[in-house]
Amino acid sequence: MRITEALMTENLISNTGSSSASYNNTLNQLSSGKRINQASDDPAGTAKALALQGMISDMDQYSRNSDSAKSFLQYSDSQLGSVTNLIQQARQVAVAAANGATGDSTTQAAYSAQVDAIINQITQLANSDINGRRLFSGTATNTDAFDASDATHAYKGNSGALNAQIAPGVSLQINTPGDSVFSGIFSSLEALKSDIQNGNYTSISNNGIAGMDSSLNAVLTTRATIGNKLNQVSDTADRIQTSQLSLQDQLSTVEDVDLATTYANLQLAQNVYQASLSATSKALQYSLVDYIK
Amino acid sequence: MSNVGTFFGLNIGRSALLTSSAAQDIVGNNIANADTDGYSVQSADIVAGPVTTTGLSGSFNSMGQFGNGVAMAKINRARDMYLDQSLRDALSRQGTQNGAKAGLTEVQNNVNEPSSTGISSAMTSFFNSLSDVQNNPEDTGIRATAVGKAQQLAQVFSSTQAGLDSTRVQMQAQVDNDVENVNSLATQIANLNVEINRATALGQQPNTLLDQRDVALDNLSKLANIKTSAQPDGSVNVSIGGTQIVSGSTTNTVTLASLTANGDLKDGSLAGDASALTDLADYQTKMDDLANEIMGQVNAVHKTGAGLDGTTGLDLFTGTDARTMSVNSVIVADPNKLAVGVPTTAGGKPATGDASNILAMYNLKDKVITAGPLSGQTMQGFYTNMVTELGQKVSNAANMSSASSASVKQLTAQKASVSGVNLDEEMTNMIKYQRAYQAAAKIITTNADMLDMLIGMVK
Repeated sequence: MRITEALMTENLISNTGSSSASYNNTLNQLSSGKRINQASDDPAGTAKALALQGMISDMDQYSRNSDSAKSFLQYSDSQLGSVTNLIQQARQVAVAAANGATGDSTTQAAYSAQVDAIINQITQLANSDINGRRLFSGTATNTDAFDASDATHAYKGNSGALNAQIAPGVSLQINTPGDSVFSGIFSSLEALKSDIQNGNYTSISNNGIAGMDSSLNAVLTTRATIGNKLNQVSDTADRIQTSQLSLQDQLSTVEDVDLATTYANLQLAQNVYQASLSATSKALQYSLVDYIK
Repeated sequence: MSNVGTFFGLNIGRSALLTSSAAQDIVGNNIANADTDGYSVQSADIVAGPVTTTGLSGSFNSMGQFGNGVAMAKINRARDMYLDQSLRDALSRQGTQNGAKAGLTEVQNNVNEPSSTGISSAMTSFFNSLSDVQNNPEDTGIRATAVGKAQQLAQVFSSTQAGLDSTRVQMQAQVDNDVENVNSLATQIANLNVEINRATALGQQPNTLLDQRDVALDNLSKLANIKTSAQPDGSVNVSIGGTQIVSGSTTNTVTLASLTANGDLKDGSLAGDASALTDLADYQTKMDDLANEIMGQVNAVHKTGAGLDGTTGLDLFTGTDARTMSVNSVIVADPNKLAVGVPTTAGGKPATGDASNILAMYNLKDKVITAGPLSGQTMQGFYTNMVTELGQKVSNAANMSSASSASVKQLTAQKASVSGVNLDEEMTNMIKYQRAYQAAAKIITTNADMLDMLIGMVK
């Protein structure tokens, strides 16, 4: 084939251009760390990357939801723990009151005051909140579950559920509406108080102590349920974390450059670029003109 | 000394001198134009001069005709018509892919995916912020964050669409420019037809004009799929598909609409630019479809719930398409009006901890849409498909562009091997014509010596 100088020059320019473009492309991949910088770099990979990114964000969200559920459950449990202690104190008062059947009005008043204080403390605990969120008022989270000044201890909250999405399709009720736990406790304590005040010792030993025991049981049952939920949240959070790691790993496979391969490619592209530059510098050095005198 | 004339030999020498010097000029012109775009290498078509038949009686009669020196019949222009057409077809195909690639790349730059700032991640952040509200609906700050995420989502939709709008303006300008170039090249070719026709009628070989016309045809082929047909009078007729745009000295002005209406436009950067423009319009329609679906779905749920103060029936998003999408200013001003819960009694306030409505909104994230343009897909899935489809188009155009570039490169090389100037070859011709000139000069000096001798004899 007859080759002209103009064509040789054109080819040199276009070849040097394409080898410098491939060098530049490899450098870009290495410096960004990403194999896919635009959808066209790998359309199928882009679809996968977008789906994985979405799933990873979802997992992040589930982790946050779990954290929030966990703190709500843990706080509920610790408040109910305090309630347990208070009921145990009330039981001791009941036992003492039943045994000390002396009819001493000063002692009676002291016992009754103790029970009253316990009722007040339990009311405070029942009204406790986390971030302005009442633990035991159902969804009426801005309302105290029980009014301290209300001797009937009527439940002011509702039976609504606070739910947490802790995993795809898994919605967990994290709250315990206060009436189910506290109403029985309050009525037992009120009964105890009035028995003490009335010096009704038989009723204290027959019903009062038993009332405290059943109250303790009610709290413990609730705490057991909360404990189970805490376990469920922790287990789910662990699973979410594991799948998050695996999704991150998959995303990295799709999206990130393989360093070893890319370094090798860079070296190759560099060599080719150097060779094409050196060929260009040597090109068109000779022509017949050099030999015509 | 022959009996054809005393100075006959001198005339032969003169014709040889003139011819070799003219051939040398052609070599010079070739070298001068070695790097000129569209120049076709020229060569001297040298023929023997007219003959002289001796009119005298005698022994010379039997010798018949005497050669009368040398002459240059014409200046040849190296050109291969078949290669010209093949190269033009390849240039058209390359134009299609380059046009589509440039336009679609511009669209893709606006789309900016996969990234942490695109629509995909804004959608995910928005929906996840709703889940945060569910965790703590009492917290005005968290509600405000969710409203902020909704604003971000609306903003990324409107700014992406605005970016695509300005890309569309640029691409439309490019298409208009292409059409204008097609028409102006057609005019140029028609004008050259006239000049070539005139020169040909005078029996001249208008090489420079022919080169110019071929350059114009090459440039036109980059814009559109042209076919040429050479006419006996030296002019060429040019057509795009079934539309004749140059016919001798007249042109037929075309528009994009006139070319696409008949399906004439198949290749060339005009076709590529126009197809990218169509793809862009398609993408923008999908952006609007998606924005409308998000607004419609979210608003429908939002309306059924109520804010903390009992405000109900509000839209969260306002606007009629991606460009105008924004968040209801009433909710922006008071995030407590975000309809997180559902009142238990009509006209009442929802419980502060009730997050049932926001959960329903959050669940829209994975809802498979059952009607309209997104039918059968989730909103996120629809968007992923949009982006992937665009990426696939860019990637195809880029691959096909480099494939067609390869064939253009090869045909250019073939054409250069026919029409290009090779300096070594020209140098060789230069030596050849230099020697021919030296020899012709020798003919003249020898004839002069012979005449000297003749004149000396008379003394």
